[in-house]
Amino acid sequence: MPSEPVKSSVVVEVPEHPAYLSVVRQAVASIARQMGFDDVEILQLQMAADEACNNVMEHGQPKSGKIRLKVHALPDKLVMQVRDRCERFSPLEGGLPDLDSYFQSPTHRGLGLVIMRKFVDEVRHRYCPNSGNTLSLTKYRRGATRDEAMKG
Amino acid sequence: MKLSVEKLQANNKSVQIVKVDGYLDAHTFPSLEEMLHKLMDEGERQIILDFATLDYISSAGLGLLLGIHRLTSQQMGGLKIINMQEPVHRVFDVLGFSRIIEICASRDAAIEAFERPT
Repeated sequence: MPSEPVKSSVVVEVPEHPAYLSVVRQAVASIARQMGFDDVEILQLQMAADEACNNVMEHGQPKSGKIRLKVHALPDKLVMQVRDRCERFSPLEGGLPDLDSYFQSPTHRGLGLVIMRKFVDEVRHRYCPNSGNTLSLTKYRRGATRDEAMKG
Repeated sequence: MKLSVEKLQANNKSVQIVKVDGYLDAHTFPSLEEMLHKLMDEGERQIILDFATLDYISSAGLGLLLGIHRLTSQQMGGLKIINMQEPVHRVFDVLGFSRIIEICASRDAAIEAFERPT
């Protein structure tokens, strides 16, 4: 049965420890499934959210102890916002490594950003001194375009 | 994540089949890393990962696979993956990992693949 359009939000706050990445992924999968995304898209959304949160866990300074994920289910898109209270840092500033370089490098770093860029349609970073960093990851429903979503 | 190992002899060579159950992420990959390095320290060079019940993999898990593939290949062995679930397979394809690490339909196919000249 096709899913009805949804318009709701879910907030998950987890300790800044990789043991809690599975909680983040479960929240994303639950909302994405309700919205009618298929199994491959759900996995890709989980991977993008996982990498965004793990990036904060690995690189965010100083440690604030918690990461907040807000998942917005909108008629045309799913938006995941990852917020931390760290000093300003953006995973987007380092540029996107190409996969050939990744495969040849001995350190195998940078794949998380490739996953975020490839598996959602938009990645945006915003920093506010009062609220910290917010990384927004947006995935449009099949058939929806960014322009249509803007109209909605 | 649960891990189990089965040892086989094929064409007078030892093959290790490691079944990975659950998810492979930044929290769980060190357990698999430790097990695979232990196998390699014991002289094992041909490793098959059975992903039939692996539901999820992150960049941390993918990076580990790449490192093990490189190490085993350098030592005249290799890493093969079998029974991969379709969504995980699609992710491997999109990220180009299936060009680097061979994915086989069954353990027999993987054992046969070890015998092929590269």
